[in-house]
Amino acid sequence: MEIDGGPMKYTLSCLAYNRPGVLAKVAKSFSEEGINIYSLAAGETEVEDKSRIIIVVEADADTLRRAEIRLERIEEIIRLHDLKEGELIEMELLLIKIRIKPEYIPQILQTAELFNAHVIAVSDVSMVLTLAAEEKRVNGIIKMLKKFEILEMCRSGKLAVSGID
Amino acid sequence: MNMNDGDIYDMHSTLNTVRGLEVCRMVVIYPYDRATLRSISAARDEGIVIPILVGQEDRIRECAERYDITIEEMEIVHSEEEKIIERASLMLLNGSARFIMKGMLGTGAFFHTLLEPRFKIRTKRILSHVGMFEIPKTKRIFLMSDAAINILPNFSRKIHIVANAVEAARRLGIGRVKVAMLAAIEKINLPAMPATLDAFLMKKFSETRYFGECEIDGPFAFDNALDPECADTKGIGGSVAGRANVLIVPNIETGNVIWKSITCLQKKEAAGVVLGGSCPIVVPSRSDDFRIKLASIKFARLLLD
Repeated sequence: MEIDGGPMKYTLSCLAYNRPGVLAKVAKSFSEEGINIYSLAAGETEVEDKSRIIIVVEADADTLRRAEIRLERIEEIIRLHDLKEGELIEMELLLIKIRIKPEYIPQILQTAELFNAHVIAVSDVSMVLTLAAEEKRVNGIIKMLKKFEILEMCRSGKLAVSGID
Repeated sequence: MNMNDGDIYDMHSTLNTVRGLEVCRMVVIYPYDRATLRSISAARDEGIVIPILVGQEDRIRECAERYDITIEEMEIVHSEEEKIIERASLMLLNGSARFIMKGMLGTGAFFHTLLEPRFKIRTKRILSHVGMFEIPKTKRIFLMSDAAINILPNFSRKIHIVANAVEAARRLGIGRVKVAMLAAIEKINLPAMPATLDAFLMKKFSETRYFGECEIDGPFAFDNALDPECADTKGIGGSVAGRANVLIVPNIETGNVIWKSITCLQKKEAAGVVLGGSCPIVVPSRSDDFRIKLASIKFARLLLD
C-alpha cells in the first residue's frame, strides 16, 4: 500500500529471452526514470532460453509506471508482472562469512539455529553460514551476526514466484 | 602403553575404592525388581550405602521375599504410588539422602517429577548421562556421554555434556583428561555430517579454557579415539587420538548402541550415572543386570565427593 504517494518498495518479475544486453536495457529503463534498483536477481526458468529477472526497486507509483512502460517496450521482454505483497512467494539467499573467535562459537551457532541458518564451510579462522529466507529474516540474522566479525557477505537479492493459485 | 599418562586402569578395582569412603544414604524408588534389590543389598553389604527404599511397602517386601533378598535391616518408607518420587525428592532436598536411584519406573516419569523446581535438583548445567567402561585388552578406563538423556544435543548442550563428563573424569582421578568428540570420520563433512562440525568447533571452543585443564579434539571415529594402533595406522596425530579417556557421542542413538554393544554383546561391566544436577542420579535401564546397577551405585558414590 502506498503511503501519501511517497516512494515504496515494489517487486517486479520480468520474463525475458535469455539474450545478451537484456539486463543492461532493464537497468537503463530504471536509471532513466531515476529509480535505484534495490536488488536484482536473474536466472534460468522452467522454459529453455527464457530467464526470469526479479527486480526490487524503491519508487513512487507514477515513476514506477513510467519505468514499466519503458520495460514493456524492450523487445526481449515477454511478460512483466508487478508482484504484490501477499501475492508472491519470496525468498533470499544469504552467504555470510564470520571470523571464528572461540569464545563466540556458542553464540554464533545459537544465532544460526534461531534463524535456521546452516554452516556450510568452516576453517580454523572462519565459518560460512547460509540462510534462505524472507528478506526480513535475512536482515535479522545479519543484524545479529554484526556483533561478531563479518568477513564477507553476499545476498542473492529477492527471488520470487507468484503465489499458489 | 604408557602407564603414566594420567589414565586410570581396572574398572573393578577403581569402583571398589568406594569401600574406603564414608557410607552414604541413598534413596531408591520403585525397588521392585531383582537386579535393583540385589544391587542395593550388595552395596549395603559392602558398606557403600545405607539404602532407603521408597515405594509400596507390601510390594517391596513381597519382591524381596520372592527374590530371596534380605532387606530386614533396610529402611523402608511406604508411599502411595503417585507420591513415591515426591517423597524421595524431598529426602534429597532436606538432606536425609545424598543421592537417588531409580528402580522399576520409566525414566521420563521419574525426571518429570524429580526436576520440578521445588526439589532444587537442577543447577546451571543441563543433566547428562555419563557411562564408565574399560577397554578389554588394556583395562584402561574411559567415560562416554551421553547415551541416555540428551537425544540430539546442539552445540550449547554439548558444552554442558562435555563439562559434566570432564568433571566426572577428574573426580575419578584421571590426571590428563583427553576428550574425543565422536563422529564417523576425522574430516569435516558438511552438510552431510553435522557431528563433524560440532566436534571441530568444540576443539576450538576449548581454547577458551572453559573446561579447565583438558585436551579436546575431534572429529574421531570410535576406533581412532580409543585405539593407538588404529590412530597410528591411519596417521591421525595429536595427543587425544587413540588415547582418549572421555568420548562424547553426537546423539543418543550412537551412545545407546555403544553402551548396548559393550554390555549386551560383550557382557562387559559398565556403570552409568546422570550428572549436572545437585547430586548424582542413578538411572539404570530397567533391563540392566545386577552388575551394572551395582557398578552404577559405586560410580555415583565415587562422584559424590
